[in-house]
Amino acid sequence: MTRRLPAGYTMEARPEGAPKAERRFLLELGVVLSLKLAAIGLLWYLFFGPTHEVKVTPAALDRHLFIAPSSKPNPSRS
Amino acid sequence: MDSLDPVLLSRIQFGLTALYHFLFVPLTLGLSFILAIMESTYVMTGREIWRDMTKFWGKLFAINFAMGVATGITMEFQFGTNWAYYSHYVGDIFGVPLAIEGLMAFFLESTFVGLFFFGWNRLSKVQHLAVTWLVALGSNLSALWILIANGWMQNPVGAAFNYHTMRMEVTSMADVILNPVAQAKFVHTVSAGYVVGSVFVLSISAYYLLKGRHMALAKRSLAVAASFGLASALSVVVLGDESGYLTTQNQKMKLAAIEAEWHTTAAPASFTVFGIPDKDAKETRYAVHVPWVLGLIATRSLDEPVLGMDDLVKNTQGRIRSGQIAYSALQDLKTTPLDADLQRTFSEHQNDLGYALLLKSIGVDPAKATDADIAKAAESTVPHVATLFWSFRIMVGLGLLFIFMFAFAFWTSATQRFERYRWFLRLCFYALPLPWISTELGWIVAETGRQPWVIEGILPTQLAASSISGVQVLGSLLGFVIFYSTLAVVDFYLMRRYILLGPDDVLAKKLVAPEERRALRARGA
Repeated sequence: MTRRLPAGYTMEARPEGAPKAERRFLLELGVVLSLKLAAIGLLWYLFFGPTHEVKVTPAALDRHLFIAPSSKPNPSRS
Repeated sequence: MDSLDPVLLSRIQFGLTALYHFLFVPLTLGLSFILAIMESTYVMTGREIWRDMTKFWGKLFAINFAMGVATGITMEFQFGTNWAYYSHYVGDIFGVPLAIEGLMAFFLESTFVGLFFFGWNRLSKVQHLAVTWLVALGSNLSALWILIANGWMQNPVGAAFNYHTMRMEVTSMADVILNPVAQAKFVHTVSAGYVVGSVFVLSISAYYLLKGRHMALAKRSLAVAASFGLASALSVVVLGDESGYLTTQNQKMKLAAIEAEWHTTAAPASFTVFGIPDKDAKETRYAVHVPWVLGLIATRSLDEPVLGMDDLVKNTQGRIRSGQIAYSALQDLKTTPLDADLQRTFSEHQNDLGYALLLKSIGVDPAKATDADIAKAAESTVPHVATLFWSFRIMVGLGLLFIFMFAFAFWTSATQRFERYRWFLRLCFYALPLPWISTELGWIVAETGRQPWVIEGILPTQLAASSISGVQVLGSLLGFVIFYSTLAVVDFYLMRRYILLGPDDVLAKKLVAPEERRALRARGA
């Protein structure tokens, strides 16, 4: 395809180091991404893994939100 | 250490994680569309500078994406550990959009992001353009689902409490998806993301123009950012107005707190531009009012009042009493589930069941609550007024500044007068952090304004947290702070480095504009 540049503009040739810079960028991102995922995995293992799982059963939820009825009659019901 | 409040720590942890995650999300939303616009121009005109622009901003998009991806997954860890009662009580509803969001983000969006970066030499121009648009659409679609989940927390429609299973269940998935609050929140949030992306491009382009570097790329980028940003910033205002109107319908207390409306005033209510809210005195000191404006925004009428917090607290007392009836009926239904009278009583009052739980959240048995307990529980529904009042005003003020910036940038771009207004270029550069401050404040308004509820009118936050120790939450909180702080430093370092390198070095290509050549000569280069 013919390259069209605006009037007065010039395009310099690619320097020798171009592919190297591209590779370095991808490598940096790859390393950071890998370290980040490892850190997230570690956080999960240390604080959120199966040993830290909080089991909630319907009975536990019932106890937590809706405690046993009181002996006192409901003030709003006749 | 026993005095550590696990609920407060869990809230701090979730809030910090969400705010950190949302540093990346809006830039992804905005920059992906800007990339699509730039590449569309490249495909339509065939001018390679537009491809170079797409690649350069694409690199910065890549850094943001790599740093941001999976930072939100830690919130899902917390649902299971810190918010187990919440997850069990409303998981059937909340889990659906959350799961779809995960699928959208990890499969649709990430797949096309990969194709975007590695497909330049493997796909045709049109195919690659389609990929870029799909990246933009994918990121916006994943935002839609998470905002449907959040919208349900603000306005829980399409669900009901089932006393057989003791949890909330979906009654209409269509109502959950088409929830007007979620839809308004979605368009408002993604528009704010477009503003973040536009200010990002505008700011860095202004920096290059000030330095006389990469002029051709900077001028075109500024033009794209100005036009896309102006349309987006105006949309944010219009859609924010819709959000405000819906808040009046569904979250009256949040609106009253944002406006520091301590008492109901005659319609149409005036808007408080400035003031110092005093919660103890229930008044706003040194208030500067604009007549009628709040009434028009909140009710879209001249004769409908905006209820003040005192009246809303009184209304809440009535709902707590109604909730007590539902609560008591529920206790009896556990032993006699087939009693028709009990079923009818529960059905009539079940919409207020959550209000009875407000009593539990202040440590009172709903069946034994006194009038004083009810008054205290009702008073607890007033959120932190000063936080909401100021967060909202700073957010709106910044929004107006962005409209001015985009409009002025649009004009200077159209008339090619950048050099004359170097003060404006400096303003654009220094404005770089402002859209993030604005969007974070938006979330603070949305989430702080819903307190003390985690699900509006259904479940108080205090009862949604797991019964775990404060020490356990503190440990994971410290882990998150260290992790996210490190990520923030790395993100800042990478962004700064590749911005300073500029497109020439990033793309290893040198496009020299006449004015750039002149600037180089002027610097003696």
